[in-house]
Amino acid sequence: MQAAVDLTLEDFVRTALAPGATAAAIGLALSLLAGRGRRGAWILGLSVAGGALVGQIRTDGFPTFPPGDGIRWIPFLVAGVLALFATDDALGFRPVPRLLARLAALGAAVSALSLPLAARWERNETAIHFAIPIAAGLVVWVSLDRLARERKAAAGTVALLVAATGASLANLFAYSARIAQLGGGLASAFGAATAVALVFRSRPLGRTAAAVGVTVLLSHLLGGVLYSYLPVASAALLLATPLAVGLAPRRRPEEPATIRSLLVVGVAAAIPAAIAVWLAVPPSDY
Amino acid sequence: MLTTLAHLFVLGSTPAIAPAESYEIDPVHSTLIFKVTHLNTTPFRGRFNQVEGTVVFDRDNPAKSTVEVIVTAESVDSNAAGRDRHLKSPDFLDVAQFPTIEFKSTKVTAKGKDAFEVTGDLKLHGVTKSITVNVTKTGEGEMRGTPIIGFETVFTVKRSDHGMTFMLEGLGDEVEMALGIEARRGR
Repeated sequence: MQAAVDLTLEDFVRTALAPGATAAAIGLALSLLAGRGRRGAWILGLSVAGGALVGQIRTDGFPTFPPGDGIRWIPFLVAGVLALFATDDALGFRPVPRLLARLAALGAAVSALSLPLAARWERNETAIHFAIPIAAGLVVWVSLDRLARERKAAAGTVALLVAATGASLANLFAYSARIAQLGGGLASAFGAATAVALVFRSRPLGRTAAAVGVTVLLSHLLGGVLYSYLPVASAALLLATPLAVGLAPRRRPEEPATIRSLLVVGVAAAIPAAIAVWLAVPPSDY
Repeated sequence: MLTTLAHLFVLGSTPAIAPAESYEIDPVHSTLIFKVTHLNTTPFRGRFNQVEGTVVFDRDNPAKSTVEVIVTAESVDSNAAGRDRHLKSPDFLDVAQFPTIEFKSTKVTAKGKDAFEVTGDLKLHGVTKSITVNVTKTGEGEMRGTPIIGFETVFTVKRSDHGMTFMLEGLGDEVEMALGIEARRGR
């Protein structure tokens, strides 16, 4: 892995900076337009989505249709999730349509990554390969949404930032620098969203940000497990990492997030993420 | 009767046309070596260890010859286990999604003694492109009583043409492939 790390370090920084800068620009511009307050719950989600898309373009080039491989479906997934859940943030779906929308998004993510391989699986294998990631993704998503709602947005973005960083590092050790770069872009976007959330402290995390975070994180993890050498245990730990947001204290919208609370969330998230990365380190070097 | 005799004379004096010979590629004696430039500095060579396929060789009418080669992408071997895993990952060959590299000829033209120009479809990383390669028949022989025949070709592909666009600065876009096949006559 030494050669892969050396080759991609410069690229890594370059491809991480652009998504972060994009997310910061979108988040700050829209927040200034929306003003302070809880309006614009979709703003953080849009900024993260913009950053993630730029990261994907920097790594894989502009998307073409149909995509050449499973991972190249991610930009289309981001666009779909963004449209669906920005609408939810703006209009407020009822619980059942929201659940169906989440299942559709997770189904799309799992299908995009799994269908190229499904022809080679037995029927029960296919069911397992689809059901488990969708179920796990749904549990994490619903829990994250519920936990994040009563907490500062910055706590949610920090938890997702740590998860995305862990996924990036784990995929790098699992021999895919490409998926690692995508993860770096997502982490950078959540880093920028954290800054925006700290400045505009009344802004909620929003369903859009949670949607983009969970579906893209799940896609990176599935890509690593199915196409590279990411251990399933690493993927499971990283998918659960964002739930560390639950350790942040509940706060009223007008109250600022404290650095201490963000550190608590960051450290709590870093523990499972670090274990996941450690599990992904290969026994041999190259 | 004269007509019948004339027909028999014509048939008797027509040279016998040899049928096309069907061969199966011997994976043990066939090799595919690739060469790619690392960091714009050093040519690096690796190989694919599993090469299979068929050759139909028509000596009298080479245009009717065909060749089909199937390479197992997962058999890539760069003499370093970690690098092999990297080559197999979504960064490059993405073998889980694209398990084979395939070539199927569409046209064969004789260019001289034992020299052929072969046009065909190369499917690499799920993308099919038409290529034309120069092929040399390297020899014929016998192994354990079974006729064998050998061919070799060297050609260059751009991996970006086949959707492999990652790390083009680190690992060159142009990949030279040297294929040597030994095929034994099928039954």
